Amino acid sequence: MKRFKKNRQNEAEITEETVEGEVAEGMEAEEETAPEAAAETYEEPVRRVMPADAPKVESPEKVIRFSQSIAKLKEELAKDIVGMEETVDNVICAIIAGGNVLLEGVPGVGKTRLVRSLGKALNLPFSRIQFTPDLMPSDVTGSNIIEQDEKGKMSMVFQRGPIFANLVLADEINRATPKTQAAMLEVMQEHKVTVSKQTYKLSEPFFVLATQNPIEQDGTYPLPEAQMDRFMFKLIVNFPTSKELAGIVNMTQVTMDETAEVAVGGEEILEMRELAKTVPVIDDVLDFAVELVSNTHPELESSCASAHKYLKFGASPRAAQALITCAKVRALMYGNYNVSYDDIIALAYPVLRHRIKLNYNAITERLTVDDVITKLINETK
Amino acid sequence: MKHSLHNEKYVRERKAKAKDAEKRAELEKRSKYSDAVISDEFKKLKKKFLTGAIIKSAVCGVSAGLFAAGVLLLTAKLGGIKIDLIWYIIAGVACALVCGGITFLFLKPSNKKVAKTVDGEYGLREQVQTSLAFSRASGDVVIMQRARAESEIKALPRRKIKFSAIWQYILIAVLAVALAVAGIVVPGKAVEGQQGGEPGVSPDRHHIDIVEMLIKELNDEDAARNSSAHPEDFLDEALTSAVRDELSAFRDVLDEAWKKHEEIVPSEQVFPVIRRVNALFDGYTDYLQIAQALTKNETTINGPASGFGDLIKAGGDAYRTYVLLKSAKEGKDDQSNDNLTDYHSKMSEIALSAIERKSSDFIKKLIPEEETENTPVSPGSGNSGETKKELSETEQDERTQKLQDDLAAINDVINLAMAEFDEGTINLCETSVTEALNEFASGLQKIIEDNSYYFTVPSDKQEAGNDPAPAAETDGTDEPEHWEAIKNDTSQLFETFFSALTDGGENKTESLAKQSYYKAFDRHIENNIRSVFGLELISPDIIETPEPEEGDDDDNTGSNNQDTSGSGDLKFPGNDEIFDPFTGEMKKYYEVLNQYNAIKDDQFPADGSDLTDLERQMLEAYFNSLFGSGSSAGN
Repeated sequence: MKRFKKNRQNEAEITEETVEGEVAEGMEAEEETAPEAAAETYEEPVRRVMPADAPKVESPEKVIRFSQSIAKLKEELAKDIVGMEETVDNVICAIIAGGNVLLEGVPGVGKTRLVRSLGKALNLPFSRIQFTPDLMPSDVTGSNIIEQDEKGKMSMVFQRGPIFANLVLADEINRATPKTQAAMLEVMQEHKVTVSKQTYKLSEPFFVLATQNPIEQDGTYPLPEAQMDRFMFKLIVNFPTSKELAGIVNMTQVTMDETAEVAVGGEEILEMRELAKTVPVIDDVLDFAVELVSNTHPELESSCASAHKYLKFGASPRAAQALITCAKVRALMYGNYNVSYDDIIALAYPVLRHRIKLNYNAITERLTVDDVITKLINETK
Repeated sequence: MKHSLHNEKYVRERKAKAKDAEKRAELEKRSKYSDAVISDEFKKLKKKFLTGAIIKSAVCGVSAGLFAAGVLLLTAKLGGIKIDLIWYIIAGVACALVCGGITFLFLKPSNKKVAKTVDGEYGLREQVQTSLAFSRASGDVVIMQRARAESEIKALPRRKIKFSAIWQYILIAVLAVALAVAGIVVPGKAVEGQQGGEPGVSPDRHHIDIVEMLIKELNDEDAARNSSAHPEDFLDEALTSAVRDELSAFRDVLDEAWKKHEEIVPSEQVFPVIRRVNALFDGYTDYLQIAQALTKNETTINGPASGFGDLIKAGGDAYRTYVLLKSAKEGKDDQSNDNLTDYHSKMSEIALSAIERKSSDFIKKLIPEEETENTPVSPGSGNSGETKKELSETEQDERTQKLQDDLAAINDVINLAMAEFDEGTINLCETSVTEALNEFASGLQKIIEDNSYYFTVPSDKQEAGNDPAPAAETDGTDEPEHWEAIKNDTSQLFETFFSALTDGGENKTESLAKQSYYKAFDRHIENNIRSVFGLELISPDIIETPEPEEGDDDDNTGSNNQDTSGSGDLKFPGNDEIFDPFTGEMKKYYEVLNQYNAIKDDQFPADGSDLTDLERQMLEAYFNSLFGSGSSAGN
């Protein structure tokens, strides 16, 4: 935890040190938002909750703005995305929590569109990397090139790669070679790039939203466990319902382009992230989350029966961190001021499904990962 | 070595520090809730929970108290143990306090428990728990969370009592009440012959003195016998010794209980003592037992033939039982019994053949097809010179069967009576009793043989030449005309037999009187022991006083009332008759004397002021019979 806190402090340093023009422009853009109109709608419920003799909150507008921002963001995304409410909520949750998301779904369900719309709505520099088997690490991170100035002097200049953005779409990440996938490890975890012994820090907030196709596994390279662990969430994007499909068809008849407008800026995201950290969580809920993660380890004697029966290996400590961090964000997103068991249970699926491995018993019983997670939750309660 | 020691020390210190840190973290965790700043709304909520916990604890405590008292009560009742009421109360209250206290410790609501319960019951998503845990924290979100939690608490609806949460308490209470009620309602263990007496006593010096007095009386009896010229007038030495041993053992039991203070000797321990003392005395009161049996049944002599046989049999049973018990007690082998059996068989053959011969002749005479209405029937051969009415086949069968049954019964009685008279038995009992029974049996057999024809034959016989008499009843309730003669003969036989036991000679009277004395002593001991335990005393009518000798009429009434009968303390001033107002007959006064004495003892006041009319009548009749009319009862 201490190490984690230090990283967070470093994030602030990075923010100060690595302000780029384009990022600064994005940050300034958020000042133009006008929460006053939204305040008329959202302040009232807060006032109703707060009794007259309640202690004064120093800056309740932060909390109000949080709710407003979330609502606005959803509203803008709904212009481009039909359905997928839970997926959208989880993506927003992960972004505010500062994590990366892996979206898995069949082609055409809107994974890339979601990320692109998100990029527009967040008013953050966005880049897309299409992973192919011939993609090289330097294609992602950037490389040094030789430049000649006016005087004919030659010098090495680092040409930044597409990874240098705030929101990165790593499309079909499993098609890249392990070498290229490995280049993403440092980026996703530490938000920095090291090329030729030179470290370049990425601007905050930084997110990687990766996609992968569950079918067409030929010619793909499954992501290593270490990289999978870097993703905060793994979200399954299902085929839309008939009604949703009809909505998609109707919408795209008008235009195929994303029409989402700016809703939240990068600075605001960071503020929201800081605010979410202050959401209280009681020890019992924390213990529940910790116990749930511990119960995914079959090698532990204290773990539950389902783990011993159905799992090959369990989730890393990052899973417990992700559960609590995202639970705080989720609580605020839904208008609650504390973390509850429901939040932990709801987030257990996206947090754990890519971090645990089923064994042969589960396969023979035709159990999915989500089924096993449900069993783990029931046995932990 | 030094390096490794240092490492070990370092590891130990690290572990100790980690353990301390763990403890501190645990304490900190608990104190988050216990030291939380709680709002007024939460206080009210907690108070409701506390009230519920108190009520549940009270229910558990009271149930436990009732349960304990009920178990104690049932155990005492079924075990026949007496426990004071205060101990039930103490046990119940102690149990109630302990169980109630322990229950309250478990149910006592802590801040966390209340918060957790409310969150779970009302689906508040851990808001109340969070507000408590972070009651001292600062921060916008935390403050807003606390405020919202408080508003939620304020808006909580009235808490419904769910049956699923309280059914255990209801069940416990019901079971406890049921057990307590059962302990009250279930009757206590019945004590043999207690009849309202105490289930036991905690003996004191007074109780022990009573038994000591009885032992002293036995010692005095021994002393008197040894110094008397007629030792046979006193209790036998073997008897006094055996009874003294029993009473001494019983006295030791009482003494032991007295020394232990408050230990109770149950009534059940008394009856074996009484029974053993009774048995010892019974061995010396054989005549009395026979006389009692025969005397009691004497009034049934007017019954039908089967009853006639039964009363003979009763007397014979009494004697037979005595003989067998005495032979067993004195270690006699089965030789005497074998002799008895052989003799019984022999006499049975003789008696049976004699009766069968006569009965077969008699039965033959009943067959109507061989006879006509005018055919004379002689008694010796079964025909009495009288005409015989024609009977139906069913009536014949019934009459035949009845006759056979009666004769068989009479035969059994005679055989039984005769079976006792063997050379072996002669040595076991008084010769006079043997002779009396022998004479009685012989006389009885003679009566039967001479009159067997008339025992069950209906009175439908007529003198020869007369018209046939109407048929009489065949169910045995109507008596044949010769029955009067038979009754007179058997009555005389009984009187003779009884006289032989009682008045037939000097020894008879003395023996019976002596045995009455034995029985009186036995009753004296038994009543004293019963009185110690508050048990009902034996009725004085159980042992009938010996029949006094018939003497001259009294001077005033013309009968000799100056003669006395009995000996020792059991002397009666006469043999006169007295009017019995209950039956309207004149009876020998000694027959009603006991009854009179009982009434006198219970109801007769010293000054005679509260006599009832009936009592006055009896007394008047008594005095009239003694002193002539003109005497009156009263002062």
